[in-house]
Amino acid sequence: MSESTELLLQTAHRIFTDLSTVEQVNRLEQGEWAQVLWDALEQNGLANALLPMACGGSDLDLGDGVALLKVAGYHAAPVPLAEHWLAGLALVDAGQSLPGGALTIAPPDAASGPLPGTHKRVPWGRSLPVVALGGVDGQRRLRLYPRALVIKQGANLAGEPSDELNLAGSEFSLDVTSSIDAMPWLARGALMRSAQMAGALQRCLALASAYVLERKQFGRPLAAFQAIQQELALLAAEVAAVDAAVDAAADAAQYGHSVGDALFDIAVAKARASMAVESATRIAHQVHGAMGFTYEHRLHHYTKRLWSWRDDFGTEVYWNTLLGRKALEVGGEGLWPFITRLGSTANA
Amino acid sequence: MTERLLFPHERLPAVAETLRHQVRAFLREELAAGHFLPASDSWMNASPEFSRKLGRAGWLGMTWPRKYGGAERSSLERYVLTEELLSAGAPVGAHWISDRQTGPMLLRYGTEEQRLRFMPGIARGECFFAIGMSEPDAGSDLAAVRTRADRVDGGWRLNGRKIWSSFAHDAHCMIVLCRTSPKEDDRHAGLSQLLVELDSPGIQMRPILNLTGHHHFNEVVFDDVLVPDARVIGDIGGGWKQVVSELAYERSGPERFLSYYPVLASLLGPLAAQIGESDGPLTTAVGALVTQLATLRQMSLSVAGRLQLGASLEIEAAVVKDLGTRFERLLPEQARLIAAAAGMPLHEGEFGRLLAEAVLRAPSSTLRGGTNEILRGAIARGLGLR
Ligand SMILES: Cc1cc2nc3c(=O)[nH]c(=O)nc-3n(C[C@H](O)[C@H](O)[C@H](O)COP(=O)(O)OP(=O)(O)OC[C@H]3O[C@@H](n4cnc5c(N)ncnc54)[C@H](O)[C@@H]3O)c2cc1C
Repeated sequence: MSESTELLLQTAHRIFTDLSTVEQVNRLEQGEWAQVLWDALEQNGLANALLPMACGGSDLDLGDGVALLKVAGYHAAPVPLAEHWLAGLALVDAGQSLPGGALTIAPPDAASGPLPGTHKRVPWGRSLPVVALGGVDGQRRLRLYPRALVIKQGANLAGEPSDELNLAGSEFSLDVTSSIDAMPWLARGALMRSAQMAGALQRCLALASAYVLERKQFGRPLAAFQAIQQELALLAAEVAAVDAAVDAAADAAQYGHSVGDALFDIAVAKARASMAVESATRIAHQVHGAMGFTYEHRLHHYTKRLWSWRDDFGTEVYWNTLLGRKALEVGGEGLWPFITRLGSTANA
Repeated sequence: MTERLLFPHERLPAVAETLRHQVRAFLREELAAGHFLPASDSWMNASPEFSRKLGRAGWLGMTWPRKYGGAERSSLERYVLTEELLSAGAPVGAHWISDRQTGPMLLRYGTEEQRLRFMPGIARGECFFAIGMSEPDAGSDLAAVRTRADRVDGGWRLNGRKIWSSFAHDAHCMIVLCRTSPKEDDRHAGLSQLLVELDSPGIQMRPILNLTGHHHFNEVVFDDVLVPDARVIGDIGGGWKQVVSELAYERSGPERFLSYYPVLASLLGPLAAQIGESDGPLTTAVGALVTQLATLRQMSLSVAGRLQLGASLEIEAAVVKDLGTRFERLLPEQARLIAAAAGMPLHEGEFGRLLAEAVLRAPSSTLRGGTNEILRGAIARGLGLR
């Protein structure tokens, strides 16, 4: 990691610590858009960090972008950074400039049919311009809807806005051909979401460790009990596994020719991240006792996001099926060569 | 954010990939010639002949300096060799301990005379070592060892009893952890490591059959065995520190998650024949195993890459071993469920053979080299909880 990236990550930590506060994250659950935080991200070159300089970005490479998303996840940042980057990258890929301000996307679906219909679970669909990809591979179209028609406002389990939109009835300001195929688009989203999950998992571990050191029962800190120690070691292993899988996928994606080259690495990362959620959140909650079940304690900002995010951009079932199909296709002889190509630069 | 327990991605250098192809070609030939049958937990299978062939290829002690018989290659190359041998289910048990931990220990703590005397033989696959740590009353609590060495003229007189000594019956030497001064308040003080040649007078060995009826480990009794000063490893009284650093090598390698890989490989052919191209839950279940395996491999590689730079990664190694061996327990059980659900015969063919072998051997996976409960205790310490 370069010195300038290191600096960028430190800046991100500082901004999120100051502005992604408990109160701010709670206000998001009431539907409030965190304009102050978004402005701070823009002013510090973080909002567009992954985009080219020409678009006001920092031209960060994907590996560093993933590191930044981990920081955002660690702070439950109440802004759609990943969605904005996905939208921005799609526009840049299609040779377009960015309209300014935050963007969101209609969540990609590898099987997505022709444009456009109703889209469910669009993050911040009510308040941000929406970028959507439609058509079939080889003949994809990218559209930008400045103000999409909202059929129903909703929220994911974490209270993040997640709306149902009528794109067919919405006006679009841009309609261009796109070279992005559906699968790489989904994979890019999956990698970014996995990075946020890695950050949120790190935070669950940090909160749980701090809590068991502080909370006393039977005259001792909870941390003194072996049952608690063993559980936290299990939690730590899950956190570490997700972090490793995400880093490997980011590295493979960055050094492959395209995100598509790292499809299987990303499949591993998103599947592993989603698979970790059940036991990691169970342990984190269990050691927090009733306190962790309150609205007041911060733990739920992370666990609720993890329960939501594990379903985004493909569940573990989706990605494990992709990997299982590949394994069956290459067979017993081919599986090992397939596995050893993961994490290297030539695994297309 | 916690800086601990991160596993930065390690990319393999091109030389390692070249080596991978050489190893695969070698294994194909050996298999074609019928020189080995792929096994579950193949590092529990010893073939001195197979080890000598690896030695001739320059693949034992391959990271060591040339003057000690090594090839001065990187630990990532050794990593690749190891994962290829294990995934193929090759019989690597004879040299496993000497190549993995004895050599590195002698490099770190041994005298020049000891290195020159033992390492070239290890690298040729002609000199095998056993580990003499556990005792009847010292398992997880290793510092409780009672085997004792008393000072005599020119050396030490060794008395005591070691158990679970893997392949001691095929080995030429054993590194024995023993007490060289009485227990004090600091129970870790007063321990030392002695290199004992197993044909020395006063040694008795008795096989301990494991649950399969296989002679894998042994009880070794020392009765007034004389060990010369020149066979003390490192410092008298420094045994505990040395053993702990030895364990880091023992804990994060691919043998901590690949032991039952051959079961998965042998499942795929018959499974595909049974379920075809369907994308049902069984396909997903296979994918879940691939996901866990691929992740563990990245974690283990990350540790291997950094151990090479001299980092101290005891806690990371403990995480890999805990997570990896839990996966090892899971893999055969999942493979069995998948096969049964697909209507595959469970007790026939290559899959049936490897599965049966795995089911019987798997209980050892979460014990050997330090149990998972003990590992998790170490991880908790790393988290600052104790
Ligand atoms: C296949 C195999 C090969 C081996 N090869 C060798 C060898 O070559 N050389 C050698 O020296 N040793 C060898 N061992 C021994 C191995 O290192 C020990 O089995 C291991 O350290 C555990 O010791 P134990 O078996 O005495 O179990 P114990 O220490 O008696 O433990 C029994 C159970 O209690 C748990 N337990 C113990 N203490 C605690 C605690 N404080 N907190 C929570 N739980 C605890 C353990 O985790 C375990 O589940 C081998 C073992 C196996 C299975």
